[in-house]
Amino acid sequence: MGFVRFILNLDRRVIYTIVAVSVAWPLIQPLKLPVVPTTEVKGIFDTIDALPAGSNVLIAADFDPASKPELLPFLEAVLAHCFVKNLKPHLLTLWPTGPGLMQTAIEKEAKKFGKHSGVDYCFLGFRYGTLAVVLGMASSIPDTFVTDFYGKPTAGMPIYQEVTKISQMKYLLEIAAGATVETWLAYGAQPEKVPMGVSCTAVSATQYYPYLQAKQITGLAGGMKGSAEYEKLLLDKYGQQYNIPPGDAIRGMDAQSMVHLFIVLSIIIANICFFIQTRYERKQRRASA
Amino acid sequence: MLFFKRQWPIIVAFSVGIVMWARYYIPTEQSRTIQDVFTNWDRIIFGFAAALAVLSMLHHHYTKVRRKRPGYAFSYITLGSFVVMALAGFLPLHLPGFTGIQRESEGLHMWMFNWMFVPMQATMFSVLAFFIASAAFRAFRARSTEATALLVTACLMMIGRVPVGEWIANNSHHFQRFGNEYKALDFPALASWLLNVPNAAAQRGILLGLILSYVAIAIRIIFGIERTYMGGGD
Repeated sequence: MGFVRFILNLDRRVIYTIVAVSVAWPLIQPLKLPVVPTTEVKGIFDTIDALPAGSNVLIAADFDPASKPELLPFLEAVLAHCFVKNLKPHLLTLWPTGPGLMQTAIEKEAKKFGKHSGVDYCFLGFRYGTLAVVLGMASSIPDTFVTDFYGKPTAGMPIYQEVTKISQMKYLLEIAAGATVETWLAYGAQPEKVPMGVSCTAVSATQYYPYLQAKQITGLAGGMKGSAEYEKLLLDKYGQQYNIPPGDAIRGMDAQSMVHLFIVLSIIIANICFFIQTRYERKQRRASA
Repeated sequence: MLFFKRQWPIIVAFSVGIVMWARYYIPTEQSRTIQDVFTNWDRIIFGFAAALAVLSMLHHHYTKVRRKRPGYAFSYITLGSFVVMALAGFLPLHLPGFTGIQRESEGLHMWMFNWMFVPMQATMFSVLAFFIASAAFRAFRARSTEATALLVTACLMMIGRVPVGEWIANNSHHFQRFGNEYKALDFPALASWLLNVPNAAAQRGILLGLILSYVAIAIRIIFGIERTYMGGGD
């Protein structure tokens, strides 16, 4: 019983240390565990991959630094995919703490592929009023975002001579850490008849499966796993040709694997010890009675 | 004045509600123009709400500092951070060590965002992993049938949704049944089934219930039955 009591009363600092080591070790020494793309993520990748060069893609990146490890790798991979295919991404965010992350991502990818703001892509930045922004963009993007993130007027940009509203986009991609997916779906993609894909945090992925099964969205990438799968698809198809390195999500999945494995094992061990202790206490009570 | 307090908000809510509802079923240019007017108003109101939120935050922390309430030292940090971040974003300051100004990548504002705000918010969220691991170890017990079902599902999902689950499946025993090849410990397939069948069924039910309650609340507001938004209870 000594060991059982020791396990059940294990100091939380021991657990914290094991979690810290489980996260850090695979990042220092990658385990190279297999990342197998699912049909849900392929649904987004294949739709974007099938778009003809020059198509406009609207990307709403509605997340903040708290969800950076899960969603930023997806945004970077999608931007790289768009630039590889010569598509024109229009990036915006409905979260006030988001623009800084998006700016870093789009400037990095645009520089890598030699793309120019206002011509090959546009970073619209942030606007207040979730539903009002979506409805406004359905009527006119240059009227809703009078200037881009850098303060340049959008109306005069070459990219907005081709498209001016959501219905002229070939694909709408929502990368969300909160409840903005339904807004884009109900007021952006569905009424304007634009196919839509969703990337979201792992905790919220479960609620979008009904939309996926009803084919209201073409694909769903949940959490860091979804981002890693997208990176893998991009790497397999264009990695060598465009010298694309493995992304952060693929490396992060090794760390996530180890932590999940530790939590599952700790739950199993704690439950076995719990049953042994309960049984022992029951026996003791019977003996004393 | 009582009219503007009681009847006027109900008239506005009814008119706007009916117009925006009807517009959805009349897809013409005129109806879209009406919608654009309303959404412009909406964005203006949001702008004022944001300004009000900033003023409210400043007032709260200023009062806390002035009255020296417990923890007022943190209010100094909040106010100081607000002023520095706002000035770095708004003013075209050419600061030593920074080649950019305002929101440019090489400016102080973006430096503070990338190297202070991002790590601090990411750290706050990352700490959750430690608490969840500790809580799962201490409190996740198979005390009842429901708790056991939850525990088994959680373990299957945790292994099935990470590459180690794929690795276990690939290295487990493979066998043939009904002309198909199966893996003995196929955690990813189990996790996928859980997400696509029981989860999707439950989510669909929740979603329908939620949307129907949205409709009910909207009807109550439009027809003036629900008046709590006017303040002071119903």
